[in-house]
Amino acid sequence: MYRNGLDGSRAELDIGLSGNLCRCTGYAPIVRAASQALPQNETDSFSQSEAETIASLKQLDCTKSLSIKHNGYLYSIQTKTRELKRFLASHPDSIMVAGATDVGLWVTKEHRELRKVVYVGGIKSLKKIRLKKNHLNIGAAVTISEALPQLSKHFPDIYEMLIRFGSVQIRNSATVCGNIANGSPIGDLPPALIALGAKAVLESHKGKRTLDLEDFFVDYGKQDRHADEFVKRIKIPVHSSNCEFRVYKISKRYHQDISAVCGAFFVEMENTRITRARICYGGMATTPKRALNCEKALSSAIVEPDAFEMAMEALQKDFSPITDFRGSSDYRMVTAKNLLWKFFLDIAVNQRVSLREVSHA
Amino acid sequence: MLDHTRSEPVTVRRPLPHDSAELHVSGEALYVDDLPEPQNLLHLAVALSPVACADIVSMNLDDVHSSPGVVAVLHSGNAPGTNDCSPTLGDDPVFADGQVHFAGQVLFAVAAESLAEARKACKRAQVEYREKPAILTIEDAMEQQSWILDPTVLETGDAEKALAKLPNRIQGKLRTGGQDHFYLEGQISMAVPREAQSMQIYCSTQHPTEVQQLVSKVLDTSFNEVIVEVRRMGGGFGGKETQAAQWACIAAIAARITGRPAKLRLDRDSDMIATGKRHEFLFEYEAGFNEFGQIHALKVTMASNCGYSADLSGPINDRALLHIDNAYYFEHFKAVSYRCRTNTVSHTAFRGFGAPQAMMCIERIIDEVAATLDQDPIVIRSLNFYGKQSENITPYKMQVADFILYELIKKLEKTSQYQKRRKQIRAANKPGQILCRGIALTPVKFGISFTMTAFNQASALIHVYTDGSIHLNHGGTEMGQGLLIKVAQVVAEEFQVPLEQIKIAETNTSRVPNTSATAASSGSDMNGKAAQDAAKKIKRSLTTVASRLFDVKPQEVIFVNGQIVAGKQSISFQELVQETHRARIPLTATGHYRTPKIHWDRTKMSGRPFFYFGYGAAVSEVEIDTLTGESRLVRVDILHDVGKSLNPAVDLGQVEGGFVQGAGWLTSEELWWDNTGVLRTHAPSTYKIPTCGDVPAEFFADLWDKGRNRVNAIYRSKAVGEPPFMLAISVYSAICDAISSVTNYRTWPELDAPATPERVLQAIHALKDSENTA
Repeated sequence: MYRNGLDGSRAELDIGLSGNLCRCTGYAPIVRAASQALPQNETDSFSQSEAETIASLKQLDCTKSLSIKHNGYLYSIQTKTRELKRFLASHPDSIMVAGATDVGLWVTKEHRELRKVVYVGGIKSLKKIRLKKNHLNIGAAVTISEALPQLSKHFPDIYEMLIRFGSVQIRNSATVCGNIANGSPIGDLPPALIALGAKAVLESHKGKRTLDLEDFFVDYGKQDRHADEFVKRIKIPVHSSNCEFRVYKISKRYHQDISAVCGAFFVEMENTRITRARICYGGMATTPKRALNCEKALSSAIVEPDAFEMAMEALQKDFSPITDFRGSSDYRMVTAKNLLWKFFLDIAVNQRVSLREVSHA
Repeated sequence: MLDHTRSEPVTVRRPLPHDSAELHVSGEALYVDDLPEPQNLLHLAVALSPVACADIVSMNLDDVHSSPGVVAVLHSGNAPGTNDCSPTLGDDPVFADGQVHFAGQVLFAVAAESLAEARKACKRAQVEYREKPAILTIEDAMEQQSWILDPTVLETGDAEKALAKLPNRIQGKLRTGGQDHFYLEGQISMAVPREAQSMQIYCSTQHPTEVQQLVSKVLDTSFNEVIVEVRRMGGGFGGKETQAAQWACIAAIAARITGRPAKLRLDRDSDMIATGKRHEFLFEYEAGFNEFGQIHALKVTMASNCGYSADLSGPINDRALLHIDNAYYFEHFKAVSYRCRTNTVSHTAFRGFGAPQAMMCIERIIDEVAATLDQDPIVIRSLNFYGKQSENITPYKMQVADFILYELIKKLEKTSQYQKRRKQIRAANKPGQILCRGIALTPVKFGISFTMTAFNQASALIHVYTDGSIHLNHGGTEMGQGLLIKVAQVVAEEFQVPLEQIKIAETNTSRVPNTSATAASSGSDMNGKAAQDAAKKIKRSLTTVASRLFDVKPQEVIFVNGQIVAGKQSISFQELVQETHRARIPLTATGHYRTPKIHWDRTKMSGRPFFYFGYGAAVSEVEIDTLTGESRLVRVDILHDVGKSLNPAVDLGQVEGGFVQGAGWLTSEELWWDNTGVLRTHAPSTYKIPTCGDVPAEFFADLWDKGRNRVNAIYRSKAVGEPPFMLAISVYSAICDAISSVTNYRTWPELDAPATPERVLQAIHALKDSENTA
């Protein structure tokens, strides 16, 4: 935070410190110390060695693809998509990592031995964020932190989700596409992106194909990705002004927690009539899943309580969530309905509906 | 000029930084895992039972033995001494022996050349279980009368009879969940074999003496063969009082069997699965009160989940019984405590030691009485407070002689603008509103001393070297709480030397023996007094030498500002030390302290178990989302009594940290066992302690400026470790207040803790449903 020139407002501190748990202090002295230290502009050991640090970090940057084979293990860094395609064609059983924030835990927590790993996070052409033909394109190697400004600019309501996504440390490493490719039923981004109508572009040595994002998620732990394919980028349509988009995440703790339920709501409107509704939930099924019955109940409805109450009931037909340590089946269902109601109040009634006022500056 | 008449202390009562503050911040503070590793160090990992209750039909460890890097496999069959590491009843096997009693019990351990190899080998055992029906919940245990210890009753007056006569009665149930300690430094021990039978243990523990004794037991040696050393812990909270011993024992057994040093550091998941936690409690209560809200009769049954073994469950449940009164007088009172044996991990000490759970119950009762009478809960609290002249005898027959809550709460009410804010909140909470606020003020009264009278003693050892530097040893352990700096301040004060002149030594059982655990908030009280005693002894020798040197009476010799002065004569501390050495008088002394005045008859549940009480109160304001059950802490005001603080900076840190830990217990920290008895929340990904963002910007914690301990505790200070934890009950209470607003405060909600979004939403729905059916 100091190196990034943040001034130590409490909102910044909460975001910046969310990845640093403290069990003794209650954070009070840490907050006091940080707000005193951050506005200062003194050199420290890090600033003194800045040039040196940057230089040695740059040396680590791999410009050429590199593979190490040893005792039946294969570790590879790919730097060009063409080479990656070739690599995957001959090693379709490799595990792909970009930020490795998820796969890393297989090793550190589950002590799994990964025999073939390929790193795609250094491929320059996958590092791009581009607005093209009314679509925001985010490459496979773009981290959450890198995508945050653009995503928040085009879809302001996603900002709060993003600052609650892991922690700064995780967001600096984890990628948008990785959050999709790992196929988690409770990944933070897929519900929002599906509601927005995003598409995934997959590529392999055989060619390219484009999928509606919801179709990528087939079942628990199963995605529509062939072994030799990789998620190249995600395309998110940037919509006109006649639409409303909200995403609400419910978890036991505000920062750095995984959703019990996450609801993403997108409607296009003509005056007060809904012309199109896309609604997607996380935590309600084995995959992030659109609520098709609910959408149907809302399409061409007037934004009024009755329509939303019917749509809430329709959710019963869309989901039968499970009970686990993040929430019971009942809680998930009730909350899913209530989030839809919250969406209605949020767009139709001038009332504060969220505990925390968060906005992207 | 020196002020010879000065009586105000110069080093104690100052807000000095923690002695290790700079080391903590720079990362140079050494924890056990940071110590240079000895040559040939073996790394240990443990294999845990996946089932809760079973006979072990067979355990084939062949593939474990043959796994790469494995040097030894330790199990119940090859422990050199007794296979037990229980602090009390001998019912905690180090390694499962034929049976498993909970999912997470240690089956065996592997010593290997590397940690990765040890962990990998652990997975290669073939174990066959014959599963048996497990008792997993308090309800099951109650039904089957599965007790780990006998039920205990605390009674005064005749609650049954009085209840029958009282027209106003409430009854209800409350469950408070357990809590993982989540110390950031997990359990760790390193055992280094010394000559012959000797064993040195570096351990992260609050109770080095008990670790020494238990290691001796498993090695079958005498206590003097084992030395346990603790420099510091990265957090303890009670979780390293008894729970550190098993890992020390395993490391010691590995070192004994192989002749090589061995280290065991549990990974976070194993730590959370295999070590005990705060007890979950289930309360059933009935209270009878008059039209003003004065509670004349109270009847409570409290059942706690103790897990599979006794551990400290006896004293923890006793302390729960002794704190269900919190700050209130009850003429007729009966509490029955059931200590349930279940097939879960054995639950243990955790900051507050049973008192937080009990105080949750009584504070809930008070709130409910207030709601029933449509009164501000503060009115009902004050009405039921212990009296100053009368109505000041606790159910265990101790007189409450230092009650300050009337004054303290009055001040807090004012500084927090409680009344004004409460009115505003009630006016702003409109029916049908999505976001509602709640506010509550709750008090804390907490008894200071171990209920086991024999534990209330401490020792210290001080050396003064001939350059004037001082080496300070005592039996207390540092877990980040600032004990070492506070005791060092006491010693600096006694000698009137700068604090820098004192070297604070690590805690070591060979220098200060037979110590009590650093627990029950007693660390500074007892070790401070013991160190003061040792310092006074050396000071007496120095005084004798100075009086000879100056040719004055000893009482004319004054220690001040690094000098020893008599009239116009003076000598520096260092010179006097050298004179004393030349006079062949020792410059080392041991000190001892036993807490006075306390006595306790466990069979009658009566006496004076506590030297004094700590007090405090907090106001919390929360906001809840009635659609999702989420809650947010909006503002906190705390006023806490630490007597005349030994170190206000350190004490304030304890108050702030304790409160937030308590708030975590009551809101986001949920332990979730599945229906086979397996804990499913055993890592930071699933178990949620507060983050920075959970602490409100408006977080005002103050020490009570009029505080002064009325008993002769060290410099009239008060213990601070545990009491602030219970200030967080105000958070729970405020959440209930907010929920209550959805039916316009007609009913007080039923809400178990932790108040997760799910429980809050359930409580809201239950209130609305009850209104609809009514």
